[in-house]
Amino acid sequence: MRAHRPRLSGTLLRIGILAVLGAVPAAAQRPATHDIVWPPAPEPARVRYVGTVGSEADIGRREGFVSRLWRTLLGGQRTRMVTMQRPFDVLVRDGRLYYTDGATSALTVFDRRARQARILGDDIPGGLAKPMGLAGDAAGRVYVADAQQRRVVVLDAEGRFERAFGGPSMLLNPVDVAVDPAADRYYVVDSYLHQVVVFNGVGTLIQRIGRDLGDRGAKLAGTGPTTSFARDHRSNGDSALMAAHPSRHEGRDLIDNRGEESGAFRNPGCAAVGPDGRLYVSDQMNFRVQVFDRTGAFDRVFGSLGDQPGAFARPKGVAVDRHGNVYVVDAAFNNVQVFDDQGRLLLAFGGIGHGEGEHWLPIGITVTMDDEIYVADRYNNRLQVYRLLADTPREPAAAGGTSGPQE
Amino acid sequence: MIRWVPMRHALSCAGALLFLALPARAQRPAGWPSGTLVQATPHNLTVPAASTAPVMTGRVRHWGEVCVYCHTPHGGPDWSGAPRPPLVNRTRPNAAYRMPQHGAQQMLQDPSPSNQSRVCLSCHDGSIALDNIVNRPQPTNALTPLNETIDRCESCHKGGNPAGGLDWEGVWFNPDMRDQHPFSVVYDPSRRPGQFKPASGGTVGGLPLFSGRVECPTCHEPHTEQFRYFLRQSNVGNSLCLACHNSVPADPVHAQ
Repeated sequence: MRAHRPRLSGTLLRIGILAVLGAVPAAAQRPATHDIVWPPAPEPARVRYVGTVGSEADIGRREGFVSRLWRTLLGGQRTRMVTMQRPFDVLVRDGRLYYTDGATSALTVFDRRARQARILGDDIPGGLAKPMGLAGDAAGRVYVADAQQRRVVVLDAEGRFERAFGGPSMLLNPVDVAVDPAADRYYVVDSYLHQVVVFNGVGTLIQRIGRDLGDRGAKLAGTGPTTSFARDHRSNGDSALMAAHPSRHEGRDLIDNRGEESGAFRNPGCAAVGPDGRLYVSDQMNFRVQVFDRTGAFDRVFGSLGDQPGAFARPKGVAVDRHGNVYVVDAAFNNVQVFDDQGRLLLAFGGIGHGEGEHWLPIGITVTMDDEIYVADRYNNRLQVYRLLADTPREPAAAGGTSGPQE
Repeated sequence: MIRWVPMRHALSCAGALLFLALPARAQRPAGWPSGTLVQATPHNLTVPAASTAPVMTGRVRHWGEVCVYCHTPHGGPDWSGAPRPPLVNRTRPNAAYRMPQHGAQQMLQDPSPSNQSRVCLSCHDGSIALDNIVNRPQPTNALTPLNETIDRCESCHKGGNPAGGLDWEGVWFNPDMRDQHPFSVVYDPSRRPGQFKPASGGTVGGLPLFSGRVECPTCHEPHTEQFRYFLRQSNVGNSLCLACHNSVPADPVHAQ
């Protein structure tokens, strides 16, 4: 069958129609092919699978007229769609969908209005070496933890470099960041220090939550500032650059600093700040979520090891929605468990697989202010998008009760 | 669809992987168990015994067990002193979540890791342990013949080189696993005649296949560090590589 070639007259016709009707709304994602909700009927549905974002095509990017004409007349490459590869974390702000890509070590934004992707960070001194966890604030800033350069980079709402904080003298393997600008507290989860390191808005380290480093802190020092790297390490194989670049292996797990008491961590992974300013941290190898107040004091803990509902085996991403519900991704169960702000289990959704509403080693999660839930479905190379259906906080059923969560 | 990696690349990749594994060994505190048992390896994720920190009595058990970090027990939440969860699912109250089923995975023709490897990757994701997701292969001077920079690699292996070099994207098993040995891949020597040794009885050269696949534990035995990098066998003289691969080809292009 011959390849379809658009005829000029048809294109002009379409342009005319578009001019009359206005722009076609951008696709938010590749929509669900059938209705998938949790919990199953007859319980009232609480969470609905909405769709998938795995490539630019899913947000409505089409090869443009100029590109097609060029290809028709002159040959050459067809437009290559950006596709996600091992997305680690996701952040959604104002029609923009940011994700960190584990394969390309890039921070990429899918602009749903422009319907195309853009790789961010060209203007970051030193670039991004291993971007992992993301956070955003109300001003549209994007905070990204760079585990290899051991710092957090802040971009403004337009994706321009604004500042960076942290560095090898303070951090070892920063994997996630959570922000509370109202309290001037910026939390960095360091899985090898087994700490949450707290900075203020000017980048001063103000607190370490977790076991005290003691003299082990000296091991951190001495590698100097992080701003001497070439602009784009990805396009330069120069060996001197490699030598200047801090090795990804430099960070070693300080296992002496593991702890299992309240307020200590064992390989903490992800963090989120709730609407009341409380900090939720997935304490991965303690199989629990720890909650801290705005002073950094231990508040409560929930979850423990097991494969039962409410337990954790590989707790990963944490998110808190505007109602205070807490979402915890588990990479062993391949699901998301939803708790209330007291740590009581409300619901679990997702499961293992490659289909719609299924995950394969999921990790990052975010919930938008309009209750859309995005899960970084890492080894399916995509994001899974869900929607919280009821927008009122719910109380869990009493112990031994027969019904699900109540309205 | 699975694409096979030319052997020379696979071996280079294996070298690169070993290189990656080398410095990832966690520091071990004084008093750490010695020997070849799992307790003596970095896979012992317990809090060091020297710890005198109090445990959250009644809320969190002391996870002195080494096994639980990979082998999740059924035990549910310890809700003593805490509000109990609702019965989330009427039909299967307290049902367990589906866990990785060793050896029971479906046929996977896509790049997703199968179950044995998935267990590894659930921690080896960069947040608990070193992940295997890095940029393009780094210069690995001492360990492989690939004494090259990536730019030079790409001068032949990217963009449809007229001299016939295999394209970077097509060469590697998967774009984001291109500096590693492939895994979750069906071991089928007939796909590359003469380059691989035959498998028999679910093993090849003493290395186990899992449902006919090469998985992480084909080469690695996570319970002991009898051999470095948790290898199943010594790799002196590339003997572990050569358990599957027939030989290292003469390679005038890449030899330095």
